[in-house]
Amino acid sequence: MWCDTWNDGVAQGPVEAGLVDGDLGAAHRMCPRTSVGLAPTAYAIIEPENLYGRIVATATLSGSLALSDRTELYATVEGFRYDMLIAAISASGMGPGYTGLGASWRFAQGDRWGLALQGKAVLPTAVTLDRHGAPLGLDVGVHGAWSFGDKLVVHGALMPNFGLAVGGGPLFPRFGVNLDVGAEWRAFPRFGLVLDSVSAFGRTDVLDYTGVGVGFRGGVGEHFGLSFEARVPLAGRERALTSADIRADWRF
Amino acid sequence: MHLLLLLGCDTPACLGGDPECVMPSPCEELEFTCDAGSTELRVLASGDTFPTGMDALAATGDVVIGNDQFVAVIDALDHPHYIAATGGSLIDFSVRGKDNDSMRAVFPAVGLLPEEAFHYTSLELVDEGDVKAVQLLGTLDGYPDVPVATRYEVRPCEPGIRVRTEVANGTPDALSMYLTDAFYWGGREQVPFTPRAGSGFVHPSFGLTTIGAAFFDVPFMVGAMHAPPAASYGIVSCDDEQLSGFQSDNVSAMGKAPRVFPARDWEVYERFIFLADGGGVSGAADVAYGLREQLWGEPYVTVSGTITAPGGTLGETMRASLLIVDADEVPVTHVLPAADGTWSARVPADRDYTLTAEAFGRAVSSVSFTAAGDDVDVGVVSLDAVGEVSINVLVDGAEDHMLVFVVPADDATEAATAGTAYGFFEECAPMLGLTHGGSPACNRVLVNGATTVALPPGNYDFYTSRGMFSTLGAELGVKVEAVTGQSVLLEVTSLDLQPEGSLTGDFHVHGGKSFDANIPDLDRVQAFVASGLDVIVSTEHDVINDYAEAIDALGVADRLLLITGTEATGHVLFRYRADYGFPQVVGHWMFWPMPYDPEGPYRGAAYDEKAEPGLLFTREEDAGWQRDVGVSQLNHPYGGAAFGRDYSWATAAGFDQTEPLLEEYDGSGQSLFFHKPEGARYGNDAYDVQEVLNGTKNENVIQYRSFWFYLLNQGIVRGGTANSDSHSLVENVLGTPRNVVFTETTRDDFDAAVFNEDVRQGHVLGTTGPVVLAAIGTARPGLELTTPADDAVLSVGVSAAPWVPLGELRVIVNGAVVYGAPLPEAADPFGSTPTTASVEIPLSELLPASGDAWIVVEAGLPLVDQADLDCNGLPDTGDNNEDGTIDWRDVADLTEDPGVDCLDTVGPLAEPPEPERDTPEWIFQAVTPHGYPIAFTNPFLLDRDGDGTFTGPGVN
Repeated sequence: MWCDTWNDGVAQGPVEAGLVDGDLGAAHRMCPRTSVGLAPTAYAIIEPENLYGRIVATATLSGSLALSDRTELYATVEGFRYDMLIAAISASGMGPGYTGLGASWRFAQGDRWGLALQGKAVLPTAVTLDRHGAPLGLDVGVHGAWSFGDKLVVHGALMPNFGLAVGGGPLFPRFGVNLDVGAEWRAFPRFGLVLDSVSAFGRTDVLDYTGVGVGFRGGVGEHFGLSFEARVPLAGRERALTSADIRADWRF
Repeated sequence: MHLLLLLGCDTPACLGGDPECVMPSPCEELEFTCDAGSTELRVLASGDTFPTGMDALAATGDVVIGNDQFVAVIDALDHPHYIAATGGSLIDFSVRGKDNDSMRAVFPAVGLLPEEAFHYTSLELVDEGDVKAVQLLGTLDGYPDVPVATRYEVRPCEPGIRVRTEVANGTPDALSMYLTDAFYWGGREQVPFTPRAGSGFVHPSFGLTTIGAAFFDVPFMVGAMHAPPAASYGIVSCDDEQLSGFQSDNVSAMGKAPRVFPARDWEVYERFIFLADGGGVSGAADVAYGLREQLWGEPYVTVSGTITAPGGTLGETMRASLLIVDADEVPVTHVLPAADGTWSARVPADRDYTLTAEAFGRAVSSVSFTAAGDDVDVGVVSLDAVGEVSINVLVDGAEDHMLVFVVPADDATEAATAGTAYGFFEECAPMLGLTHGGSPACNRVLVNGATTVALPPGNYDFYTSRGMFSTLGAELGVKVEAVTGQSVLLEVTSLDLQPEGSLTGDFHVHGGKSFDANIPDLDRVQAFVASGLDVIVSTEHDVINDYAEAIDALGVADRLLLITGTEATGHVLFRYRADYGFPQVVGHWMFWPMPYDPEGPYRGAAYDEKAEPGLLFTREEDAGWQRDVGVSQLNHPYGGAAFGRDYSWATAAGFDQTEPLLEEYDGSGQSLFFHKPEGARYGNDAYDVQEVLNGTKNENVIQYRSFWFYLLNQGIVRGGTANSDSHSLVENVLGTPRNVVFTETTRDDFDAAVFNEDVRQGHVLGTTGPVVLAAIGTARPGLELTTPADDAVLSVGVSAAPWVPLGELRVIVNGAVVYGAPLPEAADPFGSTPTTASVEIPLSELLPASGDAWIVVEAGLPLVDQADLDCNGLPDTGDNNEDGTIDWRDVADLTEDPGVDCLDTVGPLAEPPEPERDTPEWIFQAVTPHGYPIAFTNPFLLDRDGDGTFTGPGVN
């Protein structure tokens, strides 16, 4: 299976850059690895006609632990998050951001395919930004993939997700589901591309967004990987222009 | 840990949609005691005793909430005021037993934009024994997923209202959240004071795009009214040691520091809004220091002393005041001494201070003191001695109400007496009284019989006139010395200048009921009489006032013909132009007559927000405006904006005067003129007249008449009017300019319907001084069609009081000046012989070869050259650098050539040159400040092709 041959530091799986805090609803790779990484991320809404703009930048630490060839635990910690709102009265804040704790278990597989159960909790750790009410999120879904030869894998993920507020105020519960379908192509030994159709439904509207996810993934040597990934909504209620990150990973 | 912190704090009680919820009591740290405390809570019903005061707005259905210290009013949800989206605002707030409501409106918001205002959907009265409250639930106006809740609570003995607001972000997006109270002062009224280094009454100016730089953190804010009868107001936070916000005389905002408001987050804000009797800062500041001692343990001491002032009397706002500033340049309070010179005020303890005594708007002396733990008596502070002048005016030999201008007679006196009201409003020389209050105001004094004013030593000229149709009363070079008395007697003689068969009128006049005026009704009515006008249309912003009590008190009912009207003034921004990116309002519109309702919302006027003009016409008619016998008027068609609120319809609509107006509506500004808004019975064009002159300072006439001519050229015929837009005794002189309405009705047998019909028909001459009588045969200016004979002649007679320079005569045909001639100068401006001239011009020398045409005749000083640099047909920029050409170098906001033919940034208009002292123009400006003589007729409409209609020549 491709998980056995794609064993260098190059990133794998669907585009993980998300449009919801803590990347809630974004699928994770199904090939476990033990790694650490750092990812500057950015998120932007620019709406001058509404006197509204928002720029979010984070420095996100990530880590994963392969418990077996099928199971991985992973975590993301926004060590620093800067959130700037451009409005009639602009404001900004900074501090620690959100924390994600997740797991992936490839529960079925063949020579060319795999099915994984994945889930993630997003914890309300942005303590200086969420002053009183803070979001707690959970996604659980299925991620499937099929390889065509050694260089091409198609994948799809259906990730129901749920969030609510903690902190004594209104709960504001929100349910939604993400559907990402795409392909990743290892064009060269240390370089890959991923192109996804990304959609989300029901969290903020019938169609939260539909758009594209794109990633350029490279590697140096056996362990180091560097990628640029972006999720770009093209239609739906989502207001962001894009969410993007640049990830550097070290795979043990 | 964070989770525990989140769960442990003061959580919101009423954001979850439970209609039975009750918000907790705010500011539990505060405690006040007294002997006979009480509280009240009731809904106002017809026949009840209504709270009163210059700014009182209480109407039936509103809620009165108060205690033994004060009476407050919260407006009912269905009749909101000013910027608020719904009722639920604090609109009246007066000391119990005093008629001193000085509050326009205070309401919470989370930002500046209309969608960030609170939209309440329920109002509950909460009676918990001695504790009484009003609880309001709703959402943000533009965000139904953002629940909000506010509790206004009163307890016995307390000098203010406890307020708690809860808000949560139920949207999926982060919002900018500035949870604040907006204090809508309105302008020319309260002066905000903040104890911050370098501040006090001084605050940075800002616009919507630069507001971030105007935010400062302060321990409290006080809004001081100064002009009696008044209350001053203040706010402290019960949550935070500092409040964050910005200040202006238009609006102050004080609240929690702006922050990113993530989705699902919530906020609770508790504060205490309080008041004190009388104007000035120290009353409310004393309360603030007491509150901060309870809340934050900050000790204060009481400082006291005495002011002595040889000559004159104390107790007048500009005669003496005290500013106390600490060693870090933080102004901590401002005091108006009592009439006997005694004063006291609280200041923070353990600081060194400088006390500066001010008189007539100028700092005159200072002393230093230290406020340690005990109260401090700084002793006696002596002001410079001044003189007193007794002023009297005889009009045709009898004493009467008159407005007298006190003008420095030489540059030295001007330099020695120029001052400002606490550094806030415009400079006056001399500064005799608060700029926009009652008499004396700035350098102007209302007299009726001998009236004494205190004056700093110097040489002064005294001027007065009975409008523009009298001689100029003047006494020049009066030397005022310290501790001496002087008498000035001015004599004015009426001149036979007002045309027979006419009544004069001012159709744009404000008094204290307007949100941007602070002149007491008694002073306003005195000014009515002093103006010599026959007809006054009272046109308060958004409300109606009949001045009945003041007219009765002064016994002048037989001297005034007062028609009640209103000026619909948009506050709430909304989007109505598809080709413009930002929400707007529709400028200002006048309606008269309107029925006055002393107990009704807006005192009988209609709710005038979020409405295009056609809908305004409909609403005002529904409110009682008698359209068939009344008048609707487009005010000042072009102008700027305050906080994004457009003053002027033509500016807001963005009419391109190089193109015709569009008859088919396509959402663009150009198609708005004829648009009939949804729910309206009328199109936006269904108004009767427009202002061609507005304000005593009248350089904008070039733009107003440009729009008027633009419409006439398209055959869109509206009458032109000339109004003062006076808000006080100072900024515009009531009755200058004025309308001379040619009508069959008379003062003795006045028929308002006949009068208004003549106004609608353009039987009006607008003037700041000259009288222009024009005729073509028997035809007079107006909107009736005239078919002139081939040999017809335009006859023009011009006359003016001798102190009014006539300048030149101009005849305008189809928008172009086709005839000009100089007019004679007066031999003696102080004499009693009017200046006159007449001319007859064959129409064949004026008109084009064929086609319908319109003619307007003007007299006055030559207009200042202005150019249209943005290519929209509207003159916008003058020769401001005085290099003889008008180009980008004259534009204030340009520093380099933009390299385009049509500029994006233009202006300002050039103002007429300041006249040299003692020239005829200078003398004219003594009673017409910053104005120049101009008069215009309404158009002759020449139906030369005889088809019974007037066809405009088309857009030039």
